[in-house]
Parts: sequence; C-alpha cells; structure tokens
Amino acid sequence: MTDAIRIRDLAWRAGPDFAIRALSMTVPTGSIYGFLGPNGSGKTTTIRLMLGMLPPADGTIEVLSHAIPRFAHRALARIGFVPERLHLYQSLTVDEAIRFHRAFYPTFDDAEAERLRGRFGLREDQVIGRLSKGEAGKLMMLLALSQRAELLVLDEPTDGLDPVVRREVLAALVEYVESQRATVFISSHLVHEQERICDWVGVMDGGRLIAELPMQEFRSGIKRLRVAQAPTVHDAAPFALLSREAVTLHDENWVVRGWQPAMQEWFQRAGSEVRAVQDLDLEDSFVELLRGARGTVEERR
Amino acid sequence: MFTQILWTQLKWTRIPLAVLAVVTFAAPALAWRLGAAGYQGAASEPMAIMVGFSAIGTVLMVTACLAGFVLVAHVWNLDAAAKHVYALSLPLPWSRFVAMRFGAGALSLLIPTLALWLGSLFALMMVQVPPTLHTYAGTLALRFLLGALLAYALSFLLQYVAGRRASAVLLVLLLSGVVVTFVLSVLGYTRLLDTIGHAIVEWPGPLAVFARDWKLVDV
Amino acid sequence: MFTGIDSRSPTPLYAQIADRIRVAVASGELTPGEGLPSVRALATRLRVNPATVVQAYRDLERDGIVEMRQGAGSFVGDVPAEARARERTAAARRFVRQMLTEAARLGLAPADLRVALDRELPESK
Repeated sequence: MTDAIRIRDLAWRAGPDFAIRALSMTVPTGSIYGFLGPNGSGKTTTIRLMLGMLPPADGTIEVLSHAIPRFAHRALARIGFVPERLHLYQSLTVDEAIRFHRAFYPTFDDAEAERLRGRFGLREDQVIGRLSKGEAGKLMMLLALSQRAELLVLDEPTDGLDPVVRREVLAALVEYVESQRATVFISSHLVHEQERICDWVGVMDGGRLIAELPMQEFRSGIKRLRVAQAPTVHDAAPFALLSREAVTLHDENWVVRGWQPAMQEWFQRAGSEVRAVQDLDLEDSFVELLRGARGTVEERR
Repeated sequence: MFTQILWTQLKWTRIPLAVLAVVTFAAPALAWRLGAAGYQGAASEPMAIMVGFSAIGTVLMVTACLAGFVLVAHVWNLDAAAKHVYALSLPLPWSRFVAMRFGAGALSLLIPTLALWLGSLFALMMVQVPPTLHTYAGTLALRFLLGALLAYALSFLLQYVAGRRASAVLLVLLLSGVVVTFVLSVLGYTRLLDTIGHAIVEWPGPLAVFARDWKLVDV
Repeated sequence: MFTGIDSRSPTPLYAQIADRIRVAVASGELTPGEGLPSVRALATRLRVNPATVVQAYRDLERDGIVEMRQGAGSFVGDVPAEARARERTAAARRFVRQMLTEAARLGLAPADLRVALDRELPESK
C-alpha cells in the first residue's frame, strides 16, 4: 500500500531567517501520525506546503498519490483539513457553512453532519463569527469528518479548547478513525494527547525532521540511566547520549537513545555501573531529543 | 459549487446591492424632477424633459464604476480576512475558484441594472413624452450594465493581481495618469494627448461605453 | 473501571487497559460471559488509538481471559475460580512492584514502607 504522504527533501524559504530544509517525511496509510515540535519549528508551514497552499523551493511532495502542488486540488477532494485558526467565512451561519462546504465534496455525508451537529451542540442559525473558540473548533472538525475524507490533516485541533470540548473532539476523531480506517496527521504540541492516540511520531525542530519512528519505539527507545562512577569519555558508546547530569557526588543521570540491556557491559568495562534504567514519557523523551539534536551534549552541573 | 458561491456572495453584498438598486431605480425620476426644476417654462415641454433627463448620465456612470469596484473589494476582503486559507483548501484549482467569483459578481450586477430599467419605465410613465422624442430605457440599462461590468472587470483584475496592495496600486496608477497628462499638456503635446484620449474613449477603445452621453430621452 | 489511564505512566496503554480488565475479572466485577465494550466504544471513551484497545483484547484473549467473537464482539471467558484468585495475587504483586519502584525513586527504604503499611492498613478482623 502506498503511503498517504511522502515528502522528500522539501525546502522552503521566507526571508533570510526561516527555512525548511531537506525535510523528508513518510506517513503510512492508515496510521495516526503525530507531528511534534516546538512553536516556530515550521509545523504549520510544512502543512501548508503539503496541501499545496505554498510553493516549495525544492523537493517532492506526494499526497494520496497526487503530486503537490500541481494536482493539489485532486488530493484536497479526499482530505479533511482543520487549520490552527478558524478559516471559515465568519458571516455565514452554521447551516450555511455546512451547505457551502457540502457543495465542494461529492463524498459529503449529510446524515453524519447532522448527527455531529447535534452531538457537538451547534445550532443551525448560529453565526460563525460569534461562535466561541470551542464551538468553532467543533464546527471545523464536523466539516472535515462529514467529508468522509481518507486523510485528515489537523493543525493543533485541540489547542486552546477547554477540557470538555477537547474530549468531545478527540472522541469524535477516534470514532471516525475506527470506523473509516482513515489516515490522520495531527500536528500538536500537546504531547500527552498525541501519546494516547498516535502510532507514529515525527519530531520537527528548526525546519528539519529530526526523528520519525513508531510511537512505541520512540517511547521505549529513550531511557534515563542512573550511572555510578560515570566514565568521563562517552564517544565510543554503542548508544546515542542525549544528555548527562550529575545528581550526587558519584552518580549521574544519563539520557540515552537506542539502549539495549546488553550495553551494561560497556559501562562495566569503563569501571562504572548502571544502577537503574527508567523509561521516559513522551514529553520528556521529546525534550531530551531536542536537546540532543540542538547541539553537543551538555554537561549540566 | 457555483450556486453556493453565488448565493454566499449575494448574501455578503446584499447591502451594497440594495443601495445601488435604490439609487438606480430612483435616478431617472429624480433626474427629471431636479433637472426640470431649473428650466424656465412648463415641465411638460419637450426641452424640459430632455434637460431633465440628461443629468442622469453622469450620475449613472459614476454609480456604475462604484458598483464594479465595491463588489470586488467587499468580496475579496472577506476571503482575505482568513488569508484565503479556506479558498485554498477547497478542492478546485485556484483559477476555477477565481473564475466563479468573477462570474458571481458579474451576475449580481444584473440587480442594479434591472432596477435602473424599471426605474426608467416608472419615470417615463409620469411624463408625457411627445412624439418627437424617443425613449431609450433599455439602451440606458444596457449601457449601465456594460459600464459596470467594465469597471468590475478592471477592479477584479487589479484586486486579484495586486492583492492587499490593490488600493495603493490604484492610487499610484491614477496619480501617474494625472501627472503624465499634466506634463504632456504643459510641454505642448496636446495633439498626442488628444490622440490617446480618442483612442481610449472612442469605439473600439476600452472606455468607449463611458464616452457618449447616457440619455434616457433623446431625439 | 477505566478511569485514570495515564499515558505518562511507564506501563504501555494497552497493558494498563488489559490489567484493569484482568483485575475486574479476578475480583468478580466482570462475570464470565459478560460482554466487554466494543473496540470503537472503548477507544472513543478513552480517547486512545483503536489499535491500542485491540492489542489489549488480543493480549487477554491469549491468556484465556477474553474471547473475541467475529461479528458479536468481545466477551469475558470462562475463567475458573483458582485462576481468578491467582490473578488477584498477581495484580497485587504488580501493584506493590510499582509502589516499590516509586518508593525507590523517592529514596524510601523498605523498613519505612513496612512501618507505613502497618499504620495505614486497617486492622484485619
């Protein structure tokens, strides 16, 4: 099965400062792909490029087997897009917005739209410009889900929403994924939410994708080691050292990537000992990964 | 798709369209009343009628230009408010989307045109037009439509090419036009100016429809 | 039964879900033959990836605690009494192990824990 999204060596420039460079990303069909990254790392720009809204400076983009941006309009017919900020026409009512949207998507399911409208508590005659942030978010999600899209592209879909609305939106999303076997691409900085739902993760920093792997591997692959009599040199280690920090006079905490239990030997040969191995949750893994990617290992005292 | 675009555009521009319709409907009747008031003699005389209705031309030309311009700006601003993200996310090529917007706006110009035609007929009913004069209600309405469409098309081109900077570009163009005309006339190139002027304004020049007097009643 | 499923915990989500069901079966809260929520319903309720629920159910099926019947859903299997008693013991040990890991991280010694346990546990009748 071809991938839902394939990006190779994407580059884009806006002024002297910001650029997306050599970005390669693969989103497998049927996966729930979590796009993580700090603010300003280029996530929204990548999404715009992916949907053909911005012209790339270099590289290839293929979404649902269509070349972007040349055939973006063909791909968009099968994509449900929920942007970061409300993009719908503010002077229309909820009902008018649904009717407008429906005219552009032949696969639009009216009954589903009506069902979701009731479930989300949106009244037909509400003017979009007067909706609360939560209601606006729900409406955008409603439109994307009612399209029966094969690919959902969501940019911070729950950011700024209160917990109740967030749960409603996520529940609707999970339900959709289970019944439609759609591919979902979620960009969010709400790491714990991503952790529950996503089975793939791509980490972006400074305009580049610094890691892309299954969620399980990401979580289990990064560990915090409690090391006694830590060796001073770590160049030849069989794992990737992301950071080290002294905790007591003799002990250090090392955060490593690609740890295998057999690597204890390496420490023993260096005259040290690994006292404990701890899994990091996604948020900590993510932070450590960024630290590791941004420069040489810091020696923190 | 086009139906929805037309419907939403009509909804968005309902106020400008309503105002335009009122203006164009009232223009013939008002023109006659106001025009004939300054005439010495009976308002029912042929000359009075002609003078009365002749004032209508300029007003309608200006209205036609405004109609074209306002319709474009209003709709474009609504799209631009959300940075065109919604329009760009719709599954059709940008060119098709723009074409549909253009078509919808052009169709909506039929509303003030129709109002003008009806207003002309209404005004003419109140007047006893002598057999020596002819009425041109239909022609007038058609001229209005063509003038408005021309203004609309030019504004549309300007807006969609220059984007946010459309008003600035327009200002620059107008100012340069004024400056160039002034410079040429001061330097004595009056014949050149005349030729250019004629080329633009006489058929088949672009502004030909605005050249001659728009008359409702004529010999 | 499924409150507090935490993505931050070192235990994978599917294991947390499976453990809750295991304990519920062991304590009798879920009786043999009783229907479990559908994958869709549970995933939606917990807002987790449906594959996670499927993995939990498959794990339980492998251990004979759950039966997944094509088209009908998932049901609690026929688990005999001693198996349930064994599961209760196992669940208690899992819980204590987690507690001990956390205690070690906080620097608490086993002796401290024993004293605390004596003080906190109600007197057995």
